Amino acid sequence: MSEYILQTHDLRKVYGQQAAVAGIDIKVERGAIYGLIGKNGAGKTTTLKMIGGLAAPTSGSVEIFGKTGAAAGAVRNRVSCLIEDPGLYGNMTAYQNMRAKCLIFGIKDKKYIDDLLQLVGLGDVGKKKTKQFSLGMRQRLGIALAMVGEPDILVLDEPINGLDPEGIVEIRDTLTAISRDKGITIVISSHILEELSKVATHYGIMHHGRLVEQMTAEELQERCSMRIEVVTDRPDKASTVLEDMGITNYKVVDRETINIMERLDDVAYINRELNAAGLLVSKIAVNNESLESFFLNVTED
Amino acid sequence: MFNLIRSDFYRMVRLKSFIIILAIIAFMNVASLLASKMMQQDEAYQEYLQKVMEEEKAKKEDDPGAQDVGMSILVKADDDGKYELVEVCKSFLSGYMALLFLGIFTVIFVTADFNNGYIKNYGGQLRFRTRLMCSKSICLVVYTAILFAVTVLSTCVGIWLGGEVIKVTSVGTLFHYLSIQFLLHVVFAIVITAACVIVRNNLVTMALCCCISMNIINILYRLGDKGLKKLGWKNADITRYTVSGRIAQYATDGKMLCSTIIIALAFFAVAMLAGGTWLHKKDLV
Repeated sequence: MSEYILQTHDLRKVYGQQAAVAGIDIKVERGAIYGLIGKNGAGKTTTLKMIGGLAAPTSGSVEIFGKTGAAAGAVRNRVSCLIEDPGLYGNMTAYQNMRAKCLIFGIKDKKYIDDLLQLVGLGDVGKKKTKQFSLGMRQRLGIALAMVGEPDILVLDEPINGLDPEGIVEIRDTLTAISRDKGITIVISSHILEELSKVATHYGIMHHGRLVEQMTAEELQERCSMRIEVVTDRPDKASTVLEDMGITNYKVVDRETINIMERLDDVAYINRELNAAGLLVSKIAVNNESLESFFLNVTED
Repeated sequence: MFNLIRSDFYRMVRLKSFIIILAIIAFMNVASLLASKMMQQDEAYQEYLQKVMEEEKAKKEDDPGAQDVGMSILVKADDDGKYELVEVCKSFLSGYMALLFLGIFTVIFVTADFNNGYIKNYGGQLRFRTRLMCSKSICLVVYTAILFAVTVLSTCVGIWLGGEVIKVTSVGTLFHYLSIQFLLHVVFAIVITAACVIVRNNLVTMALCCCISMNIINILYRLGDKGLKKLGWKNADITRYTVSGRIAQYATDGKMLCSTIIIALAFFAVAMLAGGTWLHKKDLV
């Protein structure tokens, strides 16, 4: 059995002559919050539609629980979606919208709906029609709708798009609660890496229909955190000097570069010790790359 | 499948148009009957009506291919002054009154899911999306039954309010007529459902529905007839092979009844197949 709950294999979607998704291989671990990031038109929504079963791939496949093709169709009901805007009946209440979806799954328990509404913070909306809901409330109801039937995978397309800061925090808290309390794997897209960085455990960065980077939150943190970048002729010897200085949080990046992630105020002292050990230091400086600049660099044309 | 029907039905009865259309049709039926009553008491209008009908008859004799465009509802009492229920029902059902409103409701109901994006909340989780076509069709069967009940009841109320008497000479004839009309109306709703699924534009499908129920499409049929006549089919009459054409006629003999059922089933099969296949194959966007 695969360690991944969801994978795509050379997944493609072509509209006319235009490839919206040009062969991507996404790997999502069970229980992860997988953030799919990309600029507008990068192919995120099309990818999520194919994962969610709303669109058929032109070629390639989506593997769910290790099953592909017709076999994946049998477990398709374990994947729930909130794509683009949450389709709601404006003249119906939150409860009624939920009930309509619950009926599809044969769920008749009123408490089930109440609990889900409570989970997304809509437990007290009463008989208010959804057309009177704020955008944030609509998105949260969309998430609650997607939660009906206890899916194993939740696919959310830009749920924070257009929300005010308060709305963004609400959605973020909701997703964290869902992941923590229900253990659901979440695939969420956004064009704002900064926002996803607060919830996601894994990332996939899309650009022009391709997956240009796939990494864990730790790897991203490593790429973007503050560090002392040392360029020297002998990184192997430099690491011995650093350990003698009590520095353990460092990483040899390549043949001449070492990144030190601690004691950021001791640049001068580290430089002196390296020189004293006979090493030639051609560059030593405190650097950091913001999530935004990292994203822009990765998706540079 | 049963759960899907329950969900579709739950949403259908909560549409505002569900009640509004039934209320409009009830009001129109009652108002038409009361207006007919008032006009029947007006001798000058009766003379005018007689003249118009004779002119129409003469025109049709001169040009058998001529077709009326628009809706025509004529309610008349028998010689004994009583209203035969089946004849009154014919005026409203074969006169396309119910058909027009059924079509409008079908477009609203079927396109609602697509327009508000609700279908994306569950469409991907269905193994066979063809079932959506079936569940919506079954809901529309129920709606058609309610529409027929409202039509018959409002007809009775209208006649009663006009101070007139209803009679049912033959329950069998009434049942027979309503059964055939029910089948044809249901098939019409399913054809419009398939059109909604394929076209996914409520303006186009609403226009199509109005063109069929207001006889405007007869203009196209006549053009088609002319083309077929040129090809050698001398008695070409496309209307005879359409659901709406059969609604306007009353299948009295066995042969006509049989052909009506065959036409209804053919349209039903094609609509279900086309709509179901389209839903299954096409992306939900």
